[in-house]
Amino acid sequence: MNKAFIVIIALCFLYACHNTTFVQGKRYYTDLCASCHMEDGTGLVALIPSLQNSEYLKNEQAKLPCIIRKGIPDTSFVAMPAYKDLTAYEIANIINYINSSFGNNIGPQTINQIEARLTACD
Amino acid sequence: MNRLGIPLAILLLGFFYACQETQVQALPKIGNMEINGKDTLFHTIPEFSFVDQDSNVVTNETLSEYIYITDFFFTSCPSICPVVMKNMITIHEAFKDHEKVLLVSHTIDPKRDTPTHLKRYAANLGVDQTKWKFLTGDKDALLDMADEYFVVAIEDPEAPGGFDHSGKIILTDTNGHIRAFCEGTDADEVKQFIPKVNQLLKEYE
Ligand code: HEC
Repeated sequence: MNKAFIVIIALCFLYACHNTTFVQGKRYYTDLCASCHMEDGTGLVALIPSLQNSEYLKNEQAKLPCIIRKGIPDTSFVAMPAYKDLTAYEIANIINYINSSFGNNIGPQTINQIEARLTACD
Repeated sequence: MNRLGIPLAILLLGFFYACQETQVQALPKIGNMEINGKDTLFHTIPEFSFVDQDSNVVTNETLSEYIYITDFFFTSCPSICPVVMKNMITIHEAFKDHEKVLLVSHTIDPKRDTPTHLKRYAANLGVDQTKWKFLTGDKDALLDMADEYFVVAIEDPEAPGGFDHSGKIILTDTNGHIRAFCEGTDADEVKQFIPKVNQLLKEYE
């Protein structure tokens, strides 16, 4: 077979993979979070915080695993729910998806970091 | 050329017909209708009396000059409401400067959603409250009213937030007839709903 052809196919796969990073995290986000924070991360005015270009995400990485597992108590109208049954891996998928989406450009958290942070908040 | 002529003519007529149809079709009046002698009675929103976020009483009379866009929600709703609200805001942005259009959101959780609570909620949404009424009142009357707009709304302790309801957005004319609706959770349907509001407005020009 033609070598160039193989290279092109390989590049296509690479590109496809690159484009679908955190595909699992995106699925969890769509299922669990998008009903409030919206598909595009814009949230709902002053009621539900936007996750776009988020200062919170930039500054509070250490808190993320805990707020996903524990939620945030109802301070006004809608409460941020607690996702008690998500595993550390699932939480990692979600965090790494939002860290790299909605204009956020924050590096991923490792599974070790997340497990340590979850132990600290339990 | 001659052999092509007839199919071409048919095609052209088809286009002509397709264009015409979209121009003349009026919005339907939705719901059961009754023929009563020579009058046709269309489904009509019955009398109601609720209270808005400023504690003003709102009745059919209050709305009779307006075409209005309705939904049913509650402020603590964790499921579909935020997305429906987001789409209601899109509709609000499109019509807030139009004197003939109002938005009317009914809570189905009046115990929690008092006028003061709704006032704070509306302020948090940052919307023009002269053009968007948030109604509360007697719970059964609110749930019955959802029925009249063909919206499912029932109390269900098993459902998220304690109520099971659909996120329909409904367009009602000055006579209390329902003229269009869409699924408020579906941004594409909402996009197609907005031109229908404009189409209804033309009836009042
Ligand atoms: C029922 C609605 C709802 C759902 C579903 C929801 N959240 Fe939230 N979230 C909120 C609300 C409300 C707040 C703000 C809470 C507060 O500060 O009082 C919030 C806050 C946050 C914050 C902090 C942002 C900031 O700027 O303060 C993050 C991060 C977050 N949520 C991520 C998520 C993720 C990830 C999921 C899915 C696993 C999720 N949320 C699901 C309602 C929701």
